[in-house]
Amino acid sequence: MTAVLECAHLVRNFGDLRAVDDVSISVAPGETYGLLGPNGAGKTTTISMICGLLTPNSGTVHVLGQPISPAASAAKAAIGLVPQDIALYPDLSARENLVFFGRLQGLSGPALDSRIDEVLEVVGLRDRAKDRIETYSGGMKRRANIAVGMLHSPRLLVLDEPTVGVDPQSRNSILESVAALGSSGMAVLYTTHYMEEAERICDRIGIIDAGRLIAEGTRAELVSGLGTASAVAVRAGGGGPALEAWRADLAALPGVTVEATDAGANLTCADSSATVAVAFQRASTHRVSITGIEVTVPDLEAVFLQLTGKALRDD
Amino acid sequence: MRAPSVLTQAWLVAGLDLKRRLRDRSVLIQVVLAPVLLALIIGGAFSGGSGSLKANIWLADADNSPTSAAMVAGIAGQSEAGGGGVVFIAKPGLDAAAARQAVDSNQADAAVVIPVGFTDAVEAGKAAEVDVIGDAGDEIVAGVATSIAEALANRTQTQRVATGTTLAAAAQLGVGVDPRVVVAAAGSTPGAITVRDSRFENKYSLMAFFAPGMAMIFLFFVMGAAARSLLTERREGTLARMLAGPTSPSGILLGKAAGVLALGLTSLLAVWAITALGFRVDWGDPLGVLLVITSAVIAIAGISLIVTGLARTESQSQQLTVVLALVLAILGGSFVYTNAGFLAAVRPFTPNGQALMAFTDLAAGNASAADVLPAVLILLGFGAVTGGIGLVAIRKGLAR
Amino acid sequence: MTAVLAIAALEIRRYLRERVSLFTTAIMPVALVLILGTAFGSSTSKIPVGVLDEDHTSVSAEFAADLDKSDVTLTPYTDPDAMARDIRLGFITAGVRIPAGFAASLSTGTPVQVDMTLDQGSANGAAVNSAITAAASALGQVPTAVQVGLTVLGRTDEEARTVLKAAAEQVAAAEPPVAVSRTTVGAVPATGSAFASAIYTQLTLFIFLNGMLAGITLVESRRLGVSRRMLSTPTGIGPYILGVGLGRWGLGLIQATLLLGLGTGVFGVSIGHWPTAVTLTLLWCALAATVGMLLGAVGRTAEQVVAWSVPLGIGMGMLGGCMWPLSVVPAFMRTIGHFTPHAWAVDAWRAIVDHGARFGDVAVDLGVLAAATLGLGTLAVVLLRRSLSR
Repeated sequence: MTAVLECAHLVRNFGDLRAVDDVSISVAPGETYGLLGPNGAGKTTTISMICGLLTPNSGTVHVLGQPISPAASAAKAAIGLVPQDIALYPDLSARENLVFFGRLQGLSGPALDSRIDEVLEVVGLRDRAKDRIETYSGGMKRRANIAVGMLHSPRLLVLDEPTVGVDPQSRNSILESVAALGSSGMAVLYTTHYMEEAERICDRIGIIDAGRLIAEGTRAELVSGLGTASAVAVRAGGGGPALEAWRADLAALPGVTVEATDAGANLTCADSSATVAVAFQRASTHRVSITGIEVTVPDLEAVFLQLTGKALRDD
Repeated sequence: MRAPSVLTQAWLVAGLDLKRRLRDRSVLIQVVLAPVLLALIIGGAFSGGSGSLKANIWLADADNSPTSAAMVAGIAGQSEAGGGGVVFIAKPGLDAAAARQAVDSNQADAAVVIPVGFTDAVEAGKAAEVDVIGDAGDEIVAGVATSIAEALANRTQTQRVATGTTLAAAAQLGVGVDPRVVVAAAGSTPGAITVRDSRFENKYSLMAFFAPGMAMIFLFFVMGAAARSLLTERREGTLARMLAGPTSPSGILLGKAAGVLALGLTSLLAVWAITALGFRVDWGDPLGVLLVITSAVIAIAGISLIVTGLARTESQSQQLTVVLALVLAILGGSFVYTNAGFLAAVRPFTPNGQALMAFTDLAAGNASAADVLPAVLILLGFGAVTGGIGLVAIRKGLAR
Repeated sequence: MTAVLAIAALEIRRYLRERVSLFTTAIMPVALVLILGTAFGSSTSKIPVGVLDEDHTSVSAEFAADLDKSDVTLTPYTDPDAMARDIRLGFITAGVRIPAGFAASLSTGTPVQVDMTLDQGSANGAAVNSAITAAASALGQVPTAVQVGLTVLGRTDEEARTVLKAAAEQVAAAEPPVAVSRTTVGAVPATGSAFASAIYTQLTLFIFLNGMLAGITLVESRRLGVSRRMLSTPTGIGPYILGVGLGRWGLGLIQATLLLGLGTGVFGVSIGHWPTAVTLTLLWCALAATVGMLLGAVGRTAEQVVAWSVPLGIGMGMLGGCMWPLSVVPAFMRTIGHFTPHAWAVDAWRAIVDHGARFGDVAVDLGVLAAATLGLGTLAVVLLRRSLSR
């Protein structure tokens, strides 16, 4: 099965700055791939190369087996871009924007009209279609952006940070739309610096920082594969030998380290659920009463921190 | 679904641009309303007929003899019919002092005085004098009065010379002549050089000059803005969106250039139509006007494209456009159109100046389309060169 | 008060930082003053006439030279169409065509005719005719005398001609002259030099135009939210508007100082009673400031402000007498013109510079301008308050 998107060893420099350094990504049909990284990591530059807006200094991009470059007009028809800026004409209505860009894609006539109605329905802008873009809220503008991106039924939809500056309700609706598109079989490349979004809708995630792809895989793979452990903080009542014994029992478990605290114990483990279950069971055995328990499961934020020593978001 | 051809892409881009611009009221104001209004104002200002010399010149006949009276009558008869211009008023018996008083008190703009004893002196073969009294504040009228006086003096002298000549020649040839006959003949023979007043129809209206002149200034602004929209689209991302699809940079450029041209053509054609149909201004040979309009638009479009190509930001482009528009307007004669001097020398080197000269020739010089072809070709060449450079520069900026 | 001055200073700095503003504020008006001053500087004391010499002889050249010495300035032409065109355009008042065979005719004593071409509606025939006739009568003296002789003697043969010609030349040389003496009355008017009028007309035009264009900064401030930011400070709307107005006024004054300084310093123009002149200037700058604020209050984008300002500014300048004096236009245009403040300002300037007027003499003009400033200013403040607190 041909990958919808296959880019290999992409490199792009701007003067002395290496913005993208040997990035290789592939996206399978129906897969939603998330490119996760902080601001300035090189996501937009990578996207630009994938969409044929920028020529890589080295490396290749193939969409459906066809090479992509600024000149490859025909191959670009398979890609739908939802750029980071709104990129619509503010003095025109959503419908007028759709008509124009649709025609540029080669659509026309009744086919274009019905397709426009479809996408407006999908993004929920049917009743505001005749209003000028400049009258839209931030969220509505982003939805219009998506509508134009998917208008020509592309095989690969590329979204560059589509929820920046958007109210939670709109963000939710955008994520739902993208998820729906993914499940309907469209290949999606989604960049973001919001971990929750990547976790929520992406099948696979690539973590990018300073131009390099530093990790790639499903969420589970990323979190566990790097050996990041969960932390369980247990507050246990009672004291003395019972507590000691309880702690010793837990320390004996494979993959679990125990740190004794005044209030109980801090455990580091791979599988928090299993460990918690055992902790309760042993507490029962040793007649230790557990008064509080706090589980911290590693997330991509933690993964990123561990890989780069930096926070994913600077907020 | 096949990707549209480059021409179709251009057509779509141009169409969208034109639609967006014509919806914008400010553009409509600049493109049509303003030039027409300004031309109207100018037309109204000069509707009274340009520069006619109005003056009352008194002919003070202090000599008061039949001869002087006849001379004065002859001059007074030259008064401009219809009362405009210079009017000669015969004042029999008025002396120099009174004439001077009249000029001083602005009753007369100037005066020609035939002094007491003039005829006697002439007939006696002595020196004689005609006096001119002018106003220091109006040199031109004083000059006219002087010319009148000179003509009068010369004519008188000529008659004297003619009389003397004839008598002398007659004597030399041995022919007898009656002196009175000689004098009469001298008096009645017209001068050897006469002036024929030959008029031609002048349909020329100043509006035919100012309408295109003003329109072209606004064209710089409006076409500059249209070309600048390319930079705006780059900043706003719509350019990227177009390029992410099957649209090629060439298609976009072609479309942008076509849109700019269409806008310019619309403007000048509209101004032509409105002034010609609404105010009956005759711009001249229609084919010639069309050719000049088209080539002028192409030339100015070229400038807009080169400004866009060389500017790095919209703000830079806007500033350059304004400065260029105003400088070229001044140098090209849109504000002050002189016949000679620095401005006249520099004018042919500006596109709007060339166009204005061509428009003027068509409207006032009875030129035909063929006569303005050289200007048209210069404008087309200018447009091709600047436009070409601009398009190449823009294209380079697009390909990254 | 410091806040107000700070805002005023910022307005001035922001405006002058724009290179375009520098151009329209300083360079363009000076350039136009120079151009207008030199183009129309030499107050024409002669009538411009074109001459088309189709004879190309020394005699025809002499005739042309004689013409040039009279009250006429000659421009030579080689193409009759070009001459006709220039007559239509008004560059020359009339054209004189010296036909081929001019010299030949004169030498044989045959009468010859020169054509004076004018456009149909011209009232200048008599004036030009007089000049041509004067020159013609001088040159034609000998031929005319010969002609008279031939007529009287009833002969046309060569001998007669020769004798007559010789006699004529002799007599003409010997005859006592009939001369023309010229006296001038009245005083030469104060050199309302073209530079003087160019300076105050361009000053009027450009201070107003730039005042309008300054509306752009207000529009931009509003659009960017900067004005709202300013309003959130303890300063509040009133002082803000005052500061902006003060800044605009200052900008106008800078421009006025530049032009007037140029005029008095470089071109040696006298601006008359200077306290009156200064008052007029201050008032005009205030008016320009209020107009700019008005445009800034109602304009939505910078392009919009430019679109309105340029035609309005130029149009009002034209109507008001900044491009050509209102004395040359029909009465109805003069009336229309006085609906613009420009006309009143130019009237006042002319009175001050050319006729030494003082406060009392231009009280009406100053009054009208003051009233306009007050009225527009009030409107501007009201609209600005409303638009800024939106």
